[in-house]
Amino acid sequence: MTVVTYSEAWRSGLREEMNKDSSIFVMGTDLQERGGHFSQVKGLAEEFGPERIRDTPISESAMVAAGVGSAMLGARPIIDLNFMDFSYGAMDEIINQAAKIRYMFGADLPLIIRATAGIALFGPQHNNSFESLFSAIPGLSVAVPYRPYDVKGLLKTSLRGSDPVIFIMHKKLTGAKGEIAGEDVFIPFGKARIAAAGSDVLIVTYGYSVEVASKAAEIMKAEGVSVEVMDLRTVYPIDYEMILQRSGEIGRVIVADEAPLFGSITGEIASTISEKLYSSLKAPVLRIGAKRVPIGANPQLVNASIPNIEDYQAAIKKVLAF
Amino acid sequence: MTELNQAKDFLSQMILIREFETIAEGLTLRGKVPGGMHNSSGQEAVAVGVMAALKDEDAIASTHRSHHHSIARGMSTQSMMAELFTKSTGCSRGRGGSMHLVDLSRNYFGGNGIVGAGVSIAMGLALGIHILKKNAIAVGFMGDGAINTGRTWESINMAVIWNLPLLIVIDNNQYAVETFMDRVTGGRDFVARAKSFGMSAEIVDGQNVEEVYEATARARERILAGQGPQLINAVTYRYFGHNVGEVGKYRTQEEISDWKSNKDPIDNWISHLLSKNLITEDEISAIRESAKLEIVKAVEFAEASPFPNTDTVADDVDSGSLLRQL
Amino acid sequence: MEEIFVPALGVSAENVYLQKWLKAPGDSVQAGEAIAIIETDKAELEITSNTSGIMGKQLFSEDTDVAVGITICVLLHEGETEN
Repeated sequence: MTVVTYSEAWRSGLREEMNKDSSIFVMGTDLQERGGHFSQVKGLAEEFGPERIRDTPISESAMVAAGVGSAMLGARPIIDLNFMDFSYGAMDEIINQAAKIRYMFGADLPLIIRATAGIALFGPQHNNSFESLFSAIPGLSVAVPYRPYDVKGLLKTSLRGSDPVIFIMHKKLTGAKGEIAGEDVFIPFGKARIAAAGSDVLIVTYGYSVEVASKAAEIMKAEGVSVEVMDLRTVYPIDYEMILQRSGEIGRVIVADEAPLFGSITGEIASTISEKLYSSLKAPVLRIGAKRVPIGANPQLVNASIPNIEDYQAAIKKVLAF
Repeated sequence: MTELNQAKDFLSQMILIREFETIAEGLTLRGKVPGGMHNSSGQEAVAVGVMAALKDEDAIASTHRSHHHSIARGMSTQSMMAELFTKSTGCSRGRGGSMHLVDLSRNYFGGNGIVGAGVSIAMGLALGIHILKKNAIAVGFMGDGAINTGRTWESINMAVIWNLPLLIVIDNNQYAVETFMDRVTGGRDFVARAKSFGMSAEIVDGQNVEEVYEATARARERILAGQGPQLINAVTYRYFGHNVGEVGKYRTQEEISDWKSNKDPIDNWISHLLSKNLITEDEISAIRESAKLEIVKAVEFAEASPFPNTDTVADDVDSGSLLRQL
Repeated sequence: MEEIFVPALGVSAENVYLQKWLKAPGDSVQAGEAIAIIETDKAELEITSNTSGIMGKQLFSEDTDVAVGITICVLLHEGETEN
């Protein structure tokens, strides 16, 4: 298998599908020359031309509306907002239009909204968490891949589907390398994977937090604790089958992400596990999340706002103590 | 000059719309239309004139006040009335209601409950037409209420820079709920604003069905000739309030009477046809009878239809297509 | 004859409250005149007659809950009588 970066994985899947389906096109700002703010489509404008890799003015509302209308007519648009923080200017189009068109009108809406998110630098307005927001909207599906393999596989599935997708890629994973598969591999939504197998504690997570959880698991291994890390890959739909199976088998569960704990999607998952497995769990379901703060510009403030490896280790020890 | 059959079609469609709205208004007051509706009486000529100049393959998106657009596009009045009643046999399966009528088979991509959303979706339809290389145009209806929403201007800008095959029709009844357009529109000139964005635009008398028709036909030709997106500001008037049951004091009785008595699109078209001996009084009566009968049937159909089965409430939120292992 | 009924005015409210009659049977009524006051969960509203005539039979008494859409009285036009 080929080894590429997370960003190259997006390009690889996109290139394959664009070669097969002439109705696929991408719209966003700054796509043609630099290939987007995360190089996500670098080189594709040369290959596919300015009609299919379209530079837009900064008009998020119109960009997403253009995606909605063209998808309803039978094209397959990808609206690349670069930063998911810019989706706030298109909320009506995403929530009131895209998400509801099938329910109201019975129409297919093969629209993908791709953007980069995740907590890093650039200050409060460029560091929002979107998983609980978008997964809470009936009609939307939400991809949150960690590995390049899943970026490509989930993209390919999205481009063969009929439903709107919010495709969230993490800032810190842009250059992360991993294997990708060939033309015929598709990852369905709603199927989690085991990133690291274990038996004493289960951490259910997604996105960049898989990295942090995996590192914590490595450290705990040296202390004789076997930690399993489950990578959800999509936060709508969520693979409750795998979550409940492993939670029931392992009995001690932590649900983790880097969004503010209050209102995080980890609450939805933790409460579902508790409700379904109450009598068979060995400990209450714990959660890891960020403080309820906007993310400041100063790097130490950033680190103080979001969970770090020590927080994961502490939670693992705490859940073992019950 | 429009052909004779077309001239009569204009009349029968406008009369059908008026009859539908009149009956639907009464039924709404009686509680038959959950959520109410927005009456388009007075605006018939805009809908009929525009739709008559379009082809089947043209794609349309509309506003919350769109019964007249739907009827003029040829939608089934039975399917529409059933949707107003939110029955399962309605065009949107009882899930859309009056503001969200749809007919994909007629490339009518729906009414919209959010001001300005329809015109931006129409811009998307135009982009889709361009990408898929179809020989058609997209038409987006908006009202005067959307002239000041940001999205409208983002969409106009996008259509201009990309030379999209988009016709915007402002179905301009001059009042956004209770707010008269001049009070809230900087510069007050809708056509000038569009032109300043690089879009060709003109103002027409929305109560003159022939003028609307000819302007639309010209605009369509220009678009297909590659001359860029177009805008028509069709000035019209609504006889009723913003929504059924509105108690409004923002317009004078004199103003409403003036439009009803002197600028009614149906009366004026009848006068025109009679003066040119293009129609007889008997034919007019027959058209009115036929409209009455059609709407009676529409109501009967709606009354007799079932409400959606609540077991289906969670169906078709998404298609499940993304769950498949390909 | 005009049937005057309780109009459905948008959001919910299946029943409203007929507070007071402003006209009695036999009174003359002008088009647009208020003939009763109802209370919804939002506000008090006047029910008006669309046409002119004489107030006929009133189907509900004051101080009662009435269903939206229901006829509450009839207005008799020139030459009409109750039957």
